[in-house]
Amino acid sequence: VSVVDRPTSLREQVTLLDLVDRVLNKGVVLTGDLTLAVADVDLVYVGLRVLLASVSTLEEGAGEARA
Amino acid sequence: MIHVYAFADRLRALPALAGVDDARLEQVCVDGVTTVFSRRARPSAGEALRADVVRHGAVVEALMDVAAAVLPVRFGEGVRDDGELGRSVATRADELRRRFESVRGCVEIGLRVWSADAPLANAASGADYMRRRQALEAERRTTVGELDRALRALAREARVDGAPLRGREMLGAAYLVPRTELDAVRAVVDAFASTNDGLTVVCTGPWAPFSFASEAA
Repeated sequence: VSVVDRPTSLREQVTLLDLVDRVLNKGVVLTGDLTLAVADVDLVYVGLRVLLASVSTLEEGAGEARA
Repeated sequence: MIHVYAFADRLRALPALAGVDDARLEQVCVDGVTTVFSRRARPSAGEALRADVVRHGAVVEALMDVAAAVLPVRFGEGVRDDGELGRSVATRADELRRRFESVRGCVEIGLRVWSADAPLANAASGADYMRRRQALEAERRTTVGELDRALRALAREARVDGAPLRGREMLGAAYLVPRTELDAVRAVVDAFASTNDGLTVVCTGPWAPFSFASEAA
């Protein structure tokens, strides 16, 4: 079952989890001085609005589904 | 303190968008590397963190439309002032310029695959557990391995999550894909998902190249 077949709410949650994972855990590390505790990730996950659409944006063009 | 969003190559203009704390976005160019940042009084905390993470992601995403290449910076690090920022960029400018070339024209696609049931959760015995675990490993190597190889063939780079797989998770990976290959990636993933009803396939993107912003360790 592809995520694109599932309800929007789940799709948004998954996309959001992926966004948070990237923003907090990936990217260039500048100083290594994290001002953010890893434990805060759960706080971020719950109830956040979707920022980017999922795989559907591959055909629709990025940015259209930005919240 | 200074909040850094990303490094950009040939930035045409700053996005018409405010940064965290609604601060004005700024840019500075050091050794051919443009840093996009904003200033803030204190780091994110508590309830504001959610909005700040989203804003950080939105700025990075917007930069993808106005620069030749973008290298996102991890959220949550503090650089004290302009001097520290300049030194930080200067010490890594060579690597950043190499990474610009690596990610140019590409976006990141995230992929996660889970088995639909929890094959190890309700094992009847130790032997049963091991048998199920072997079956899961075999499926991981063959079925999911094929998907991974098909996507690697379309991607410029691939990175598999370093963390151990948890529970039903069978694959966690990111692929750096040329924009021209996005349709092909979608076709591969859709075909895989439709022929593997027993698996949950989650594909997200296109993202800025968060997972490919640094050279492989």
